[in-house]
Amino acid sequence: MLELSNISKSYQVGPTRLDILKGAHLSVAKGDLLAIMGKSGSGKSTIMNIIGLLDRPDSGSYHLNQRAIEQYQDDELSAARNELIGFVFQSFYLLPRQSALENVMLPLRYRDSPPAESKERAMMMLEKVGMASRAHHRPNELSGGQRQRVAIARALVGNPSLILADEPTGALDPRVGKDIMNLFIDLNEREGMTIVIITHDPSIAERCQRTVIMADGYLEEA
Amino acid sequence: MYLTEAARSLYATKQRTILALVGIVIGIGSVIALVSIGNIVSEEAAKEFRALGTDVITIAMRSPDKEDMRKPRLYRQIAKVLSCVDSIAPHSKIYLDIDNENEDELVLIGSDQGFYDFARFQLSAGRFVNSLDAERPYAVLGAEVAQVLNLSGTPDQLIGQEIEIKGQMVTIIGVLKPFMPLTAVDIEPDISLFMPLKWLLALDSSRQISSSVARTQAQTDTAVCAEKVEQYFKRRIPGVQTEVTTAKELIANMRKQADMLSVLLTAIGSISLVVGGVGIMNIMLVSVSERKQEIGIRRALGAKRKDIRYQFLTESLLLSLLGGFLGVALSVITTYYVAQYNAWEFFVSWQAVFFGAGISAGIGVFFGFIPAHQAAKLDPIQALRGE
Repeated sequence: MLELSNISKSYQVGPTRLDILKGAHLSVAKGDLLAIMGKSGSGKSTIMNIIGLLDRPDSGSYHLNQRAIEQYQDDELSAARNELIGFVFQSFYLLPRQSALENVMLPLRYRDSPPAESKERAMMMLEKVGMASRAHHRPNELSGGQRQRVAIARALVGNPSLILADEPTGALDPRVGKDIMNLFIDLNEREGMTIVIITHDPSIAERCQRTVIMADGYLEEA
Repeated sequence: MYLTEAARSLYATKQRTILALVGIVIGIGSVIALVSIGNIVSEEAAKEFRALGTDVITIAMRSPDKEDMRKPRLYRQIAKVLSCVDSIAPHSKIYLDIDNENEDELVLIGSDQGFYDFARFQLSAGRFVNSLDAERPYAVLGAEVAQVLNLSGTPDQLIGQEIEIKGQMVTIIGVLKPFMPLTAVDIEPDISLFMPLKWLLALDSSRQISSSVARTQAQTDTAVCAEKVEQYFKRRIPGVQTEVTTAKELIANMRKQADMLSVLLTAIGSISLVVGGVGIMNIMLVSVSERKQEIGIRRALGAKRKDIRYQFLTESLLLSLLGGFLGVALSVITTYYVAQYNAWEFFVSWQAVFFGAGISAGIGVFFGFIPAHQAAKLDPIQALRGE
């Protein structure tokens, strides 16, 4: 489903060139629940940005749903992010001035689906994450755990091939983080959702079927 | 969709939105108000000419030989000599400072019945001065003069009262009904005193009859008649410098002045609109840099560059249209009060309103384009980090 091969990426920082990825390989099958671990500065964010189609590798190939991504233009990448990937971020990244429901509807807006249909589908997703009763609250009226649930509903609303979560429990209490993790496991087991979680927390990685470790610019199975 | 989001985002930063609008509101407001007032003024002037008639000639003269220029008879004869002239009203004026709290100014006009016939005045009481009054100290008051001079009583009671003018006691022999200003000869009858022309000339031996107005006979060409009038004076007063102007020329001149004024106003207005536009651009740039994370989130969720561009363009367009709307409202209110204060007939110049709306939309797009473009070209990763 997801096939990264020989991915390299480097950044120019002042006079020095930093080789962040030096030929990383990763293959994720449909229905996987995968954790990518690594120390900070190891290139976790870079690989997540590449997987999430927010960044392009310098070399190597990337196939997502049998589509070769590396040749995509900017607009095609936007469309692919919208259709194939559901993002969950550490600090939720909900739009503060919009209600939970409107936040969840946002991805559907960028594929021009009719508002009534979008609303119905967004409501379904809020129901799935247990947030239907808070649909009309704004993010600042919700707790951290509730915000992350709304964000997960937003990630699910476009029916993506992959949920890509970047430290999804990093900003939450351990107890609440556990609930969120349960929700991911539930989605993976019950609906066969493919989920990639980037984390530095071993207790999160432990609960995933598979863990790869990012070190020295390469990805290795744990 | 873009529109409701834009409205919401502007509403969320109300204070800033209002401040950003000040420039454009004042810019558009002043341009439209000035253009509207200009239109009203030229309409008022046109109205005066419609009332006065377009068969009017104004004559301004100067001569080194004073004596010829002090004979009203020379002027009155012209109506007999030239068949195209119906009536002529030579006159001369001086300004009177009135020593009261408002420091009003009255105008003393030396004239005769020719002026009465020419302007088609109406009297509240008494009679107008005529050439038979010669140098007698008689005065006819304009409608507001009694009030300025602190005289009380009905017009009928004013007749026969004496007032002091230029150190002489002068008897009131008539009071005029209110009358519109005569722009063609720069006279406001309501604040003028009309006295015999000879009395005024006797006051000062160097005074000349430098100005007169004439009305041409019906069915004659006013321009041809103006030419004949000029020839007449040149023949009768050697070395005279004359300037004879027909009402049509006056109207054309006024139009030209009004046009020049609108060009000038448009130029000034354009500057204030550019300032207003830069204000909008500034606020949009601030908005883009504050909302980088939002832009990053939207990009991550699948917004294309053009979606971001439209979002910010819609916002600046809405902002400037709002400014345009408020500016138009401001201009209509201002124009209304200015018209009311000057007792002009108020009307809205619709072309100015549409012009204002169009300009503000143009400003929104033009000055919103750079911020919107900046927002659209942000790298999603950097935007998400708020960099």
